[in-house]
Amino acid sequence: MPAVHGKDSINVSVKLIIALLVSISILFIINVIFFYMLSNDIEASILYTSTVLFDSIGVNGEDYFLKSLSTSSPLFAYLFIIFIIDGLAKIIFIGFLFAAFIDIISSLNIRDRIFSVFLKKTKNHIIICGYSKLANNLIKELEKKDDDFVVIDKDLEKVDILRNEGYKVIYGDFSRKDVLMKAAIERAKAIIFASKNDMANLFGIVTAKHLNKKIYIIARATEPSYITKFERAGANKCIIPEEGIAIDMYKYITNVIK
Amino acid sequence: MNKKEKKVIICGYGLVGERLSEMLSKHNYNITIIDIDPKALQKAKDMGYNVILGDATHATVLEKAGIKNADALAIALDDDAKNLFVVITARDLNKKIYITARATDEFVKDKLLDAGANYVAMPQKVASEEILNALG
Repeated sequence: MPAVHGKDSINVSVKLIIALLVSISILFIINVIFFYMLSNDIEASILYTSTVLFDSIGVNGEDYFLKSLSTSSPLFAYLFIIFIIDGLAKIIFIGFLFAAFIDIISSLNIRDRIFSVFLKKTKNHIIICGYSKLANNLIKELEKKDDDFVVIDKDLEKVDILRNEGYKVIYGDFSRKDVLMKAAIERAKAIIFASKNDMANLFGIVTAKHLNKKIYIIARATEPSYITKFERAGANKCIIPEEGIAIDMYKYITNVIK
Repeated sequence: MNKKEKKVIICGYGLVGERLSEMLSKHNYNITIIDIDPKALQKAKDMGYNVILGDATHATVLEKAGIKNADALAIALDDDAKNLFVVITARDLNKKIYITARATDEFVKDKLLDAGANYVAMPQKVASEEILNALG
């Protein structure tokens, strides 16, 4: 994730610089237009006057420059400085302040914090590790049964989709202790490892068993050789969806052709 | 009275195909396996099944496996599109055959049924039922 964040920051900076350059150019053009309108009162060339005014802003030399202009010109120059440059500075300043504020809020992860406070009250829930097609099917079934459940996934896109649908989701690797703790594993009644990744499931089983000895562990395996490994690690039930399919097809065939 | 041996063709000798043929063979079904992978097919041959090497989406391969006089066809390839292809081809070749296929989601299930499958099995549905039973 840090790599993506870094790339985003670079993109933002480049956009900011471009925006600043465009704003300055627009101001310079406005400046030139106004001086052009007042050109009868000044002797120097319009472009030169504009450049000197821009250059003298914020520097003591501006007073000297302004004095050299005729009576009507300094008024415009003062207004220009006060209203436009000052305004622009304020907008930039407020913009930066606002961006920093948003950055602080997003780094605080308020959504996650509120969620973890909410989870503190959760007990006897089911934890679903890995948002696979199997997990999706399970979620729909558990919802019908009014069972309380939490989903863990390390794919931010999937996490966002589920959160927007109103599910309780934790972003992270389910084989990690801190992530399982966030899901209040010590008070959960069951945990289901629904991922297609056998190794991740195995790690998850070991971690879950370590954190809660009483939890009921169900794990999905992609091949029969993993079942003994899962059981040895502490799984109470192992499932191979493909075997279920074979049984389902067998039942159908033996039923229709006897 | 001698019961006529029923003929079942299984497309794909992966985990599903292997388990299914294992269960069916115990009940005296005549099993023919179609697979594109010679290694998988050798395994099936060693088990004593009839084997056909080739792509089950091709009509010629299905014909070679004897689809015209088979009683049932189980399609257990792990690709929804291929399964759909086999269903369409098989239904064209034999109007009476019982076709069962696997699908990864509801959307595909409907397509397979529309294409001519009689029964569609979905791994995640079967597995979640099993999980829910275990949870009680």
